Amino acid sequence: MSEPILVTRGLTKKYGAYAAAEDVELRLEKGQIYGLVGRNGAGKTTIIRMLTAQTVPTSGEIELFGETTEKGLSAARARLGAMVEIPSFYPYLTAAENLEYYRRQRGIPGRDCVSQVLEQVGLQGAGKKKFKQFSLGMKQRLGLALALMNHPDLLLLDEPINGLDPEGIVEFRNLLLELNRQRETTILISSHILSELANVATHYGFLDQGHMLEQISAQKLREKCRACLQLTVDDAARAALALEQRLNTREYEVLPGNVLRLYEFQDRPQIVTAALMEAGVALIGAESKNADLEDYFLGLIGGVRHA
Amino acid sequence: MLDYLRAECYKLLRRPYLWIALLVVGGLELVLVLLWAWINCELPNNMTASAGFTMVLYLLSLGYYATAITSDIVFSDQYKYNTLKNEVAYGIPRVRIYLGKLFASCLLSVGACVLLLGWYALLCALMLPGDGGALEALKMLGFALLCAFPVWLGSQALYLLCFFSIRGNTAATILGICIIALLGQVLTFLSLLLSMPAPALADCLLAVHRLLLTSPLENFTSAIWDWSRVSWAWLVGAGWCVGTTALGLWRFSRKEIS
Repeated sequence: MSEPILVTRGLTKKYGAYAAAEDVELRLEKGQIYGLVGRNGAGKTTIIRMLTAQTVPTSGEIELFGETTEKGLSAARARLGAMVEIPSFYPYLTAAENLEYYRRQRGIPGRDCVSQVLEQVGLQGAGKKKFKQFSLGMKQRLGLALALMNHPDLLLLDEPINGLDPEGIVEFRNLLLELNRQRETTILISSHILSELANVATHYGFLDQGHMLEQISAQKLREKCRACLQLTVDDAARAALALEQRLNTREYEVLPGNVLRLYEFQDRPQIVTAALMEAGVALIGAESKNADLEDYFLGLIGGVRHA
Repeated sequence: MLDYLRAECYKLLRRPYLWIALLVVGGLELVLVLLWAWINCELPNNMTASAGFTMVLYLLSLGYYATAITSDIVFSDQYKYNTLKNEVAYGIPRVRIYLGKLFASCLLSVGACVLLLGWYALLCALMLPGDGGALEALKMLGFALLCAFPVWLGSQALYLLCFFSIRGNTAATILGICIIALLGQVLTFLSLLLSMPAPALADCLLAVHRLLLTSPLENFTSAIWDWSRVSWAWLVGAGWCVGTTALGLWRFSRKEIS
């Protein structure tokens, strides 16, 4: 197991009786791109806000770069880059002045870093433009520039591609991958756009109603989501035996409700049907499945709900 | 903290609000002195430079309201623009944020005070005739500032508490002004009301009245060179400054930043 960058233990935030996040156990290791998946109100933003000290947790512990004390966490947060919800800046200052203000405040050495980071996010021509004149996409880019200014070891991004145009989304994705590969920047990213998350994430955490349902690596998720033939039968045990004896395969899994997932013979379902019939198994239903991140998530939370 | 203060100075010097406020007040001073100079043309030596300096003694209470403006300039609509999250997210301790803004607003107040009083003194010296009493008047002005400075500092800390505690700047300013301007009136009224039925309580209210920020500057012209007034002012000012800052720090340490 590699070096943990961020660990939460029993992290909970309650507003009265309502738990926005409850007993969240999160673990990010160096170099991971961690996709935080959850529908609206699942607790994604609450978790990021607790990590960035915007909200005080009701209970639980945050360990950031090995630090758990309040003083240690403050120092560790200097190694963060964060973009939480819509980026906010002073409207009467230009993009460059806003960044310069925060550069001075955080004691980041070297004035050049402002122009460098503006170039990095594609705002090199907009440095002298006042923030109040920015479009949402430009605001997102400036928010990202602020997050990158201190060359962070850990980036926390909450819905970062909201407002970006398609070209901006591709640029943003490439930038994240570049940071991750070249600087080994660890990234925690929450997004509604699951297809976009699937392009970058190496690990996932699935949240629902403030609870962490599952943490899984992208590789394991791919294995779980691979193409299959989903069979509903009257007797799953007999069907499994038939698959092993007659089709000589163990590439299947049995799910609750007499459902089997067969990861072979997707292109020859008639052979499977014949084998089951010969074994006296009644086939109630059969469908070809090719699950993606969205299907997996919906399966986890148990229903077709808006993610 | 030095980095934080440098950054605050960088930001506030780029805020048009600051320059507009300075121009307006500086312009009003110019109009006032020009008016006196014009009256002097009709009635020679009606208004001398030393009288102009002494006039400041009657305007000391303006400092309570000026600190509302400087607090507003430094606080910079943090809740409206949601910019505090950019500070706490990067590990800047909340204590540093609060005290940094308090120091920055004090710095701004002192700077603006020096600039505006200097400008006023220059205008008086250049446009109004001298009568040999200028030095004495300036000494009195120095004494008045020595007395006013701590209570202005207290009001600065009070306004910052209001700005950090209440989301709307206007509401925060109104609350601050009410505490400074109305609390004394209310206490006086209540003590008058209770003087007959409950004299002990009325005395108690009057004692509390003495602890208000406005008390050390009440009837100030009759207390020139009364050094006990200065120590009282420093005690009251320091008390309010420490008390409101402690309360503000406690509240801000638990505040949700959106």
